[in-house]
Amino acid sequence: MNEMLTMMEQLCKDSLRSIIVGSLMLLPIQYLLAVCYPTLDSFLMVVLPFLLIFALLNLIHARRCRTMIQQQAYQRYQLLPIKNYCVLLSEWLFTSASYLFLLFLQYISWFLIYQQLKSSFPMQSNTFYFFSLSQLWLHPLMSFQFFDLIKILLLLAMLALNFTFLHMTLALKNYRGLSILLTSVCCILVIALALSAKGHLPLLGIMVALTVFAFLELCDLLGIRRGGQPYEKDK
Amino acid sequence: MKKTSSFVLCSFLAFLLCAVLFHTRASVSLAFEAEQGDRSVLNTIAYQGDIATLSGRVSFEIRNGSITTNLQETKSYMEAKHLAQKAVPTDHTNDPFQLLLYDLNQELTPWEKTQQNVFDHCGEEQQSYASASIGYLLYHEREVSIDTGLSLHANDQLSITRKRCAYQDNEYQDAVTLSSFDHERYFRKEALSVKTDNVSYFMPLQTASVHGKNYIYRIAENLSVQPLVELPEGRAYEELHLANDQLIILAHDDEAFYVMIYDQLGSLLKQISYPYRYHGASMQSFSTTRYLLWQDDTTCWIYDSVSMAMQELPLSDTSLHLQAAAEQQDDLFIAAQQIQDGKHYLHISAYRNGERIYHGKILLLEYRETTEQAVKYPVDIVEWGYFVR
Repeated sequence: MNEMLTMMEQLCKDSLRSIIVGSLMLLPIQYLLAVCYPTLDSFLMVVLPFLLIFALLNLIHARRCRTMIQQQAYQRYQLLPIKNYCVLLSEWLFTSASYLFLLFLQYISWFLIYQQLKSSFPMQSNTFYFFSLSQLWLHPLMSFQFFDLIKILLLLAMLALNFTFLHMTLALKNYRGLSILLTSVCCILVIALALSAKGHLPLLGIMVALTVFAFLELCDLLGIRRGGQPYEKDK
Repeated sequence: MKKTSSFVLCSFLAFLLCAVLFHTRASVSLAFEAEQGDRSVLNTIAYQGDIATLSGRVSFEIRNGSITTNLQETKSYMEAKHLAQKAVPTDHTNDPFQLLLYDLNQELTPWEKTQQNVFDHCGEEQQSYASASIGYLLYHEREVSIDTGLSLHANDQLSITRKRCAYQDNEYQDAVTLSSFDHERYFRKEALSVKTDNVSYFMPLQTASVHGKNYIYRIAENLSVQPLVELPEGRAYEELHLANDQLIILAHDDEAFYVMIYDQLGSLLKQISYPYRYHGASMQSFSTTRYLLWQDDTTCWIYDSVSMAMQELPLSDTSLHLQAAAEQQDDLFIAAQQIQDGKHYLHISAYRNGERIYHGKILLLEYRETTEQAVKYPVDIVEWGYFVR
């Protein structure tokens, strides 16, 4: 655990500021949209800025991984007497944490948007509840029930792993096609989960299977699995 | 602690805190207001209802005098879009009786009676009819058709038109569109039926546009249909109920309201009438084992099948509309709805020996028309609910 946290500190601290600043941009963008265009659809007001910031976060992560490989930091850590899955776990944990931070800001932003728009909302009893319920695009992000919270955390962990796989493969220039395909399918599955009310379990099942596959491939790539070959610069 | 580790921990805790805060705030809380009497009388009965929107449905339950709410479902974007665009076709598969309309002169094939807006597309050509014959199809193990001898006549307020319409993939079929309030009622409540252990009784709804002699029909276990009682002509027959083995019919004409009580052999036991002027309002009526309740305009009446007497039931407000009634341990419970200045109230009352012993109201929804900056919101529906044991 300590080794993993130390590894994360060393590999990720440089991009911490850009991740925090990039995520914080969500608040003014969504709030300004709510002030200037109160009747805007929730997709344009909330979901689109959220997706843009999400994409920006992944760019930051991809750039960080690329720098890590280019500066041969990863290769140096392979020579240290630490467990070889530490890099994978630290990457996964940090990516998940950055997504959680973005979701936390999304909740804060939603409370602010509600304060701004509640007076023009027709339902005057239990307003916050019906206001949130009426924003159909936001249902996948909101924890109306305890099960929703579990689902959000599970999806987020799976997405983080798939994107970690993507960031690493892009940086290592290996398995790139496979990781882009896997991540795209996972994104499509998340969108399908968001838009459809039925068939959640089969979709989640497919996503779990894909994530497990991505995890095994990532282990292969980083030389964690038995028989897997660690990455070498001149390979 | 190091910076990155702190970030991970803080992100997780902050997310959890916000998710829990959201979950706490995003819940529906309902409470009794303006209570009179002891609420513990409600301990013997429960009440369930729904607040439904296009984006989700919240159920509420009153049990042991306290109200609980529960989010039943959240609609997906695709479902809500589908609901908003198209009326859902009425599912007739559970209806024991289906109304059939025939062209008296030309053909015997029944028309598909439905609302035009449930179809995906309709042809341009339409045909108007002055009258149509009314029959019923009884679905119970096998189909039994019943010819009532009644006919529906077009007038200033009612038009009977037929179009060729189709659902997306189906063949074209005849869709009959009926206009006017009278025939809105036909879509909601077209046959009035009651059922005992092995015998059913039914009476076609008769309004001013329906001509001919009306009957109470008796449907035996072997599905043979016999007219039991010929009903007086010139009256609009609104309701048929069964209470304490008595068949009770609510009817009216231009001058009086009639409560006609028959036994199950078809003998008239009693007829009560009082002066009444029909205003076109939809009438609500509910029966329990012992009582029959109905509301005409603003007055609520109660008929006691044991004493065979009728009396006016005091409601707390004249703007209330009966919603449900139930009887438990000699107490009568009534739920009524009230919509006032955008506020949707559910009133719950309990009566003992004709006296009100409890009354309380619950604000289910407060809906306000907003300014031009109104936030788009799907239509809300209060499904007022019913009593449960």
